[in-house]
Amino acid sequence: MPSSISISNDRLWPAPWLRTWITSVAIAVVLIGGWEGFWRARGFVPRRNDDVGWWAQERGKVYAGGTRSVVLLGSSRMQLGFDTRVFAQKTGIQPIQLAIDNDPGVDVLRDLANDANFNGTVVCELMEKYLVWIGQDSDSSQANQWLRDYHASNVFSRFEWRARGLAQTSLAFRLPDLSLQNLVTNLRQRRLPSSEPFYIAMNPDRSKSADYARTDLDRLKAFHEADVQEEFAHLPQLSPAEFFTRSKLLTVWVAAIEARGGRVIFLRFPSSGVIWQLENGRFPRPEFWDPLIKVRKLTAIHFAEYDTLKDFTCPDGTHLDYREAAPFTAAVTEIMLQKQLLPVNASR
Amino acid sequence: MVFNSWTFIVFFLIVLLLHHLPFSWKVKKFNLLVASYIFYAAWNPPFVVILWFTTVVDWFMARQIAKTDRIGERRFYLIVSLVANLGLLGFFKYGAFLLESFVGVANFAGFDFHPAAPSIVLPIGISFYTFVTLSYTIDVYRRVIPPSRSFLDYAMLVTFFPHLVAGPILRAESFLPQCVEPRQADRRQMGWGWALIVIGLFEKVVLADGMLAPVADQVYGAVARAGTAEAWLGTLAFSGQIFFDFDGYSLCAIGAAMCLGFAFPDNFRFPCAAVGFSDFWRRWHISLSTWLRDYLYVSLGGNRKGPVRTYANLMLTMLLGGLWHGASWRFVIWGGLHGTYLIAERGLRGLFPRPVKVPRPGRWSQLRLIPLALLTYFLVLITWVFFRAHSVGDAFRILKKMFSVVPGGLGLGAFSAAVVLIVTAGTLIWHWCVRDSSLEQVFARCPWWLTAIIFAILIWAIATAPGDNRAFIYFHF
Repeated sequence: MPSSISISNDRLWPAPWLRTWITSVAIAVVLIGGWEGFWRARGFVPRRNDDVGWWAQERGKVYAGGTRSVVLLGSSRMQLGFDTRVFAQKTGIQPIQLAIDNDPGVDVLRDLANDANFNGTVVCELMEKYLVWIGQDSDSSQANQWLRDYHASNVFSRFEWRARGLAQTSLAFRLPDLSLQNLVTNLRQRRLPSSEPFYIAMNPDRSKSADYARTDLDRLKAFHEADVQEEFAHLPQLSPAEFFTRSKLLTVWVAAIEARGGRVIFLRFPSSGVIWQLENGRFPRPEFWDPLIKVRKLTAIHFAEYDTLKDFTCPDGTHLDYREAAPFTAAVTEIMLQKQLLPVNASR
Repeated sequence: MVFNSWTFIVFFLIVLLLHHLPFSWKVKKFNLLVASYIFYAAWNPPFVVILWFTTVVDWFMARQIAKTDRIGERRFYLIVSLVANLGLLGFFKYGAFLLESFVGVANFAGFDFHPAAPSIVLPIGISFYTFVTLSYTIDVYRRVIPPSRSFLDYAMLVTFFPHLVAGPILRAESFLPQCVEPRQADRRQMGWGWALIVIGLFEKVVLADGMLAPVADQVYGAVARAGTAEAWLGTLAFSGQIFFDFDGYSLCAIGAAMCLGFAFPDNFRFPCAAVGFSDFWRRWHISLSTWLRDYLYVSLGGNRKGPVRTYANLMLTMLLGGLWHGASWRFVIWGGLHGTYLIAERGLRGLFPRPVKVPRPGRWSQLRLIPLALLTYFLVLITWVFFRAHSVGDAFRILKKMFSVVPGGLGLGAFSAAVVLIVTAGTLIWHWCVRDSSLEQVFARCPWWLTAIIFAILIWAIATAPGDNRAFIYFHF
């Protein structure tokens, strides 16, 4: 080794290392335990982060039920608007929640279509605007990143995901609310972070429940309306013909799943107020949704077509409150059962 | 499997336990080798074949080189080793880049050429372990070392897990003798080894990922909207991030090896306090800079062929050093800038023959070198723009914003700015205070109870840091 390169071993000095480390670990345990105890005493409760590890664990469950598996795909609308407990009570089937916040879900549908081992039922949230980007396989999309991690996973990564999940559900201080930035932001206002639950709660199966009574609804609604307006301002214009051409991929994916004995049911969740006006204005149902479903022969449920669905309102314009999600899901499930869309032996 | 993961903690504890069981030294080395292959396979099992191929080719080539005294034959086996290793590196790392550049040139010349983009996955660590095996073969060729008699020892040199995926780049001359006699950490090595692991994890998890990466990502992910202040903050943040990320990894690697009784070379030595660029490269990624010096710069002729050839050798070494980091013109520009700095420094030394003496530590006269150190830091900061930006175009956009007045549009809060400035200032001051010292010398002066408290706080900070799991930056190389 060139003499210019020094080696740490040569610089070691005699020190009471055993005493030092025992003391250090003891102090660290007290510090960490005290930190955890402090936040627990203030009402913070550990919860799992909605991350790739959790999603991958759920993704791995789609095969166990065979044709009786029911998989939910879509965005936060599916996570918030589909009450999995109600569905399970009515059908005897516990659905697998693979919806990803802020992601349309079509990439996951493509993945299930290409998975020769999957032959269950997919309930996939569908909105007209998703077809603008369909097939463009953005590397940066959350779904594609998580799919890559899932398919590249091995025993080590799966162990790591489980270990991280265990840490998140055991330790309150792992909550994002207690990050350094959040702490400093609150301390500058001479207060500590509040343990008042966020208006959206994560459920153990990756579904979510929103209680809009807990939030500043006017502000939230204004935020979502501005967000959708901004999105539509940058959304490429699509003629009905172009829209129809792009939708061909859906039929390919649906055919792949149905060829294996599975089924794909598309579900259009309610939108309300200004947001529904924007969406319906850009994609009028008679020009986009209706021809899409009819000509492509897709199985679909549009909230506006059913008396039992059309009167649900979204407090923020885009998502259902948990009080509405339960009856909405019950009504949708009843429609699916009446049409015999669900796996055989689903209860009535 | 990264060092900052639960999986690695469990893996390392098992390896440590096995290493302390009463097995023979040969069995212990075999255990370490198997563990190292498992460590590598955790990323992508098929790539173990490439690692194995490199290991076996250079084992045989080195033996063949040592068997003969005929220059032609020795050169032939060396060339086989070079072609095999550099060919692998070239295919996996530079195949797509070369094709893309060729397509660019062809289209510029008027040819309509649009081949399908190749889908080549880069085996993790290939840049590092090919350099280890190459240095082994070259050292045997130069008769610096004899070929190893033990394949197990040689395979350990290439594959030993602490250094396998991101260095430090080991040399056979210093590592192979350590494999001859049984090695087990004594109390000092175990104690300081774990200390280095904790310091390394703190640098990576808390400083790099927790404090600096979010700012760098925000700025470099939205270059068009960044203002002047934001461009500076983002670049300062990345400068700190890459140091703490890579130094953190190196300390973990050195510490893990030390816990197993092995000695690794230092890889960083307070580079933010470098005075001049020769000094910078004696402090930054030392194992790579010395490798480039010993096997590339010296092979090209070094400084033995006159000033013009010296400058050319310097520039070529730094350009290739830049390219080693990644298959992109950004890294070539990064290397080119460092080459330019080194040439300019050499030229200035020629104009002012009296050397700038760095006074002994502790003297007030050291203070007059601070402006030079800050100038060095500033010029290196400019090079990091090319390292971090997504494209050459983005890099120039950021630089333009840094040197003009553009209002900010990203909304980087005062908290983020304060964090970056405090961490940067703290790092500069810390590096300057200990630039001629070492972490060991610093802690040797601390009473044991203070050391215990410091490490307890570091462990608490690591445990409570947000779980934003980012890969080590140098894994991408």
